[in-house]
Amino acid sequence: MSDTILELRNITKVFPDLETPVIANDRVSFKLRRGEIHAIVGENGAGKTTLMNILYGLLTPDEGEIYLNGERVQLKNPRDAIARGIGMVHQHFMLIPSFTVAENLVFTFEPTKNRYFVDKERAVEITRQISERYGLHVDPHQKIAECPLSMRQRVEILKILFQGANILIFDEPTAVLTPQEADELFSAFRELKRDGKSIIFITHKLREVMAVADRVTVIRKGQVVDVAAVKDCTIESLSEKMVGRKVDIHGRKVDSAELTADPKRETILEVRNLVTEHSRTGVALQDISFIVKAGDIVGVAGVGGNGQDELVECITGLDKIIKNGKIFYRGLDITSYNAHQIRELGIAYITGERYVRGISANSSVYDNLIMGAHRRSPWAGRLFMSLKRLRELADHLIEKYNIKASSRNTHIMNLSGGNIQKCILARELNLAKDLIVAEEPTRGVDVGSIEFIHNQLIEKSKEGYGIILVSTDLDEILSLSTKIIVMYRGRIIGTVDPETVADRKEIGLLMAGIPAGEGSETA
Amino acid sequence: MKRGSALLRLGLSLIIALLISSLFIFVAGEKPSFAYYHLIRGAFYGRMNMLTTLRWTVPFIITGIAATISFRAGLFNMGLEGCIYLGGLTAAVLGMYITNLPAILHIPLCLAAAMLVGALWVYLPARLKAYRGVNEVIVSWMLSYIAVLLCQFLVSAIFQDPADVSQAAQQVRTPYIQKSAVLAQLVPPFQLNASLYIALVLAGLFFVFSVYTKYGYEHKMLGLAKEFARYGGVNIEKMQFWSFLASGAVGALAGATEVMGVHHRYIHGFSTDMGANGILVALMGRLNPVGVPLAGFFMGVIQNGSRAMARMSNVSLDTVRIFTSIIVICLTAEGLFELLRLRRLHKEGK
Amino acid sequence: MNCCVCAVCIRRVSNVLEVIFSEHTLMTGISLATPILLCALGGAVCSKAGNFNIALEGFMLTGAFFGVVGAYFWKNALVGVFLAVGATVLLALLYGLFVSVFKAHEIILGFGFNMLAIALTGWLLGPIFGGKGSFYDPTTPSLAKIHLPLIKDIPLLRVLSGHNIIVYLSWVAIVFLFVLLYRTPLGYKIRALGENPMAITASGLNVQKYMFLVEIIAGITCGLAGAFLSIGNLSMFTEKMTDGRGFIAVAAVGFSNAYLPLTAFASFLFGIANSIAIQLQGLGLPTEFVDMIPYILTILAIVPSGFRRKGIFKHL
Repeated sequence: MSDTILELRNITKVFPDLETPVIANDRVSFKLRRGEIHAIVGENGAGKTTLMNILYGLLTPDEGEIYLNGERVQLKNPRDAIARGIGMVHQHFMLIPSFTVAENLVFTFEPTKNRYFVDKERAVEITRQISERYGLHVDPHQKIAECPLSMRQRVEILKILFQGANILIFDEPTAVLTPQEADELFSAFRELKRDGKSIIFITHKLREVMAVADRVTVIRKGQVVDVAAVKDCTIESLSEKMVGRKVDIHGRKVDSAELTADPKRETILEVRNLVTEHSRTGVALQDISFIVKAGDIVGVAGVGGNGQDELVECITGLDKIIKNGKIFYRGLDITSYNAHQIRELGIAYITGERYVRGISANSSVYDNLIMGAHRRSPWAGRLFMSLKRLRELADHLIEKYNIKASSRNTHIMNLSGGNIQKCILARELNLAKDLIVAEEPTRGVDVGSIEFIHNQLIEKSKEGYGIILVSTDLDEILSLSTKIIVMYRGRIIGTVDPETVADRKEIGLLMAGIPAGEGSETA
Repeated sequence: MKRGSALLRLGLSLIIALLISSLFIFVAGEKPSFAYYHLIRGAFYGRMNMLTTLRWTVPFIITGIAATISFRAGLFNMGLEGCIYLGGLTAAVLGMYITNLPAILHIPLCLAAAMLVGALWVYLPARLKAYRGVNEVIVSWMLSYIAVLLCQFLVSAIFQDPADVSQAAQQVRTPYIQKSAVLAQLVPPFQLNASLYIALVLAGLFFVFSVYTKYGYEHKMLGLAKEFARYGGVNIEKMQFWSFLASGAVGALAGATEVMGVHHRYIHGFSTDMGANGILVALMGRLNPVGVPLAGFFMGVIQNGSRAMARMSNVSLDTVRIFTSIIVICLTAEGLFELLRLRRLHKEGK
Repeated sequence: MNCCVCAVCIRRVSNVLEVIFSEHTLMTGISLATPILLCALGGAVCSKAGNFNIALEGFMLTGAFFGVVGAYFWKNALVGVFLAVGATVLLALLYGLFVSVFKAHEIILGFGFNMLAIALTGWLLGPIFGGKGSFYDPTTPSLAKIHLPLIKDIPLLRVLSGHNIIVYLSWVAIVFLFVLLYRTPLGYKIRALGENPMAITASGLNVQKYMFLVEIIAGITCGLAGAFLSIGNLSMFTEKMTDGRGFIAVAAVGFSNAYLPLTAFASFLFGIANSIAIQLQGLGLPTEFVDMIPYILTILAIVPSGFRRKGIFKHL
């Protein structure tokens, strides 16, 4: 086994501070061979990043061991990892904007002259040498703030190579790259491999795995599902492993036929040819069009970061990034509406960013429940709120949504995650007139609350509401939607009818960027 | 404020501050209990003491509310001192030059004008912060210094009391205001005056605003969770802007009432750190519409009582300042309380 | 008639110009600038590390007090300087503890520490000196004036001579801190801390350690500033003697966006403006407007931050 340069054995990591403790890594074992390119794939929340953070010394595992070259090691600190030749290129770069490329490259390992001073010329020289050696072009003198994202990534790579990394870990490296830049990156991978480096890269893009990896490990819900040589895999087989096997017909909670029976259903929301600017994360929406009618539950599927956030922000008026296209609410053009106006229309938004936007973490349940209702009749007049009615509302919502809080004045952070989510749901559904945008409504929520939340949404759909359900949880999408659109890189790459889709594989392929009909690829 | 223990934190900070100041008293060679006895006595015992305590409570409440209005919205109006001076000067000028106006019109006119000037003065930092995200701490702070200097200039150059010019040690101050602009003393000859009513009405209005109105709720949530408020449809920019203006206006009100009620003229330097004290009161009152007036009263007690304490014992006024500054420091140390809480939890074997 | 008015005007203006460009003004300007410069340098370093430190005023006051303590009891001005720096560094470390470990709010904490410094120094006047409000004893030594050998005889350049050691140390500090921040590995880490603390953590380094280091630097510079103030000329201490200089230093940091050469420039600018104001006062011109200059300049400097993509102060 001298071939195995790195081994993780039975790594377990639990995050107990959340009320539903999350087992991020469940007895995960992983082997890296010398000189190979090894991909780790899995959906959001599968545990990939946690595993790599453990390997890099940012987290300590609760159980399990790490073996480097057959020798057991303890990595308490990134500096330990770096010293042992493990380097990581994070998804969000660890660069200093005002420093030059050269300065960033040598950061914390600066070459010195006269003992105390940083030798800038030597740093530039080192940068040039390393850049040439690995064929990764960078300009040593340019300030990082002025460098394009692809160059910044190259600097990060060169940085860890300079620090002596033999094992290079990449976390979603192509998230911010164009296809050409991604190809350049993979050439670099091959070059590094020729140089004897071993590479681990985390991705959800199966095409990339097929294109450049030697072996692949699939992780799902904290556990290793499979390890295989890429040449023995197809995209479909990988996709299947990543998302699970067949659709569970009995998992359907919604009868599309029942909900969409009425041919005269009104169109509640129409999104037409929506195009946006590049957001901070580099994703731009391109020509998004879809319709939501009364009774529809439109599921927006896709791996996180493919434009779902941007789409939601456009609809809810929270960000001004729309370049082209229109959004109509019952015929009214709401493209340029801001958050306040959207809310006045009665469009409810259950946010995925629970603790940042969804609640006021320093307030009581009461204060969290009344936002929005506080300025509407019958709970408020022109200036004054009716405290009596608002208190009744809060109590009513607590009861109706089964929120486990001792009273409405309980501090909201004393509630469990599921109950906090129910508060958000309660508040929003109370204000909704006929359109609900639900983003990750059951993320991190206990099973009982999940059931409850789903039922609430279904009820609303039966009442004729239109619902847009954005979720990276495929089970949720499949069980609740009347139709599914899959997003990839800012586009709607395909639509799926959840009642007729026989196999999750179909959706898995779409999520991985393979349009329908292009399947059956082998390495 | 975490998990409803805000009161606990206040209590803990008070205890720590009390312990440390007691230490200082002890080192000064005095018995802490003796010192505190004189403080309490000096604040409450006897008509004069009680009235003087109330007299000091007034500016504390008004400046405290001024600071609270801005802090509660998540903004730091460090320019209160400037607003106070400008308000005082405006009131003095209008109080001097407008004659033949009955008090019932003259007084509101002076107060309103002062508040207008105060609001206008902070227009710049308000607009820059709300709509452009410029650091309001620096801008309002700088403007404060400018305001104080401006007032000094205006008075010494234009509004100076002619009776003073001939004197050697020139105090920069205006002539007395008209009788019709004076806020009457409640119990002559003590300094407590009708501004007490103004302070109480202000506190009442602030309470009603914060607890009962839509905007009061939004104002509160803006400071507690800006993104939540934005997402809930609150117009962040407008609310920040108007909160800042209101803060400046109320600060000016404090200056005006001091001038109209206590000194009856503008004396440069009349605000002995009123602005900073307002911030102090706001912090101690935990930005709460009930807490701030109470904290204002508390500070009034300390202000008055500490003088008696300094007279009757070996304890200097600085001891009291040590006490209040430690409260401020402890109150803002979120992590300290988290640490103590976690330590307790670990002991319980979590 | 017109000729007379003209003549008076011209004479007036030339008087003013004479004052502004006199050597005396420059000499005084350098003196006045020194405490501001020192505090601003410390504040700029803190700012680069991500800490908007408004407690400089309190730090300086502490230095001023202990400067006199040291000079008086050891009958040696240099001891005063060391004591001043030592005491201020301790205070700065306490501040650092609250800001980096206890996660206190910078602004409120700075405000509290300024109050604490005023209160503590005022209180200590009693037990240590038996006085109230101020302390002055003519036997307390002050820092000696140093006359630079050749320079003291060159016209105009001689304004650089005849200052005490702290003034010269402040000039050295500009260079030293600049080199530290921009040419040494430590400086890189400090600047990284201010721009991207995650990068420090990801390199396995301790964020808090560097924050404490930075506060020590601020403690040293502000301690020197305080010592200059109290034992630089007349060795005395008065309550609140810093009189807002620390806040002007904060203004200088803001004005210069914590870029050291600019910070130094701003400090000198403010010092000379102050000096001019004092001279002009003798001529009967209103000083208030000249006094306003530092504050107006700072506002003007910070307004553009609202119109760029990246603001001067990233926090808030």
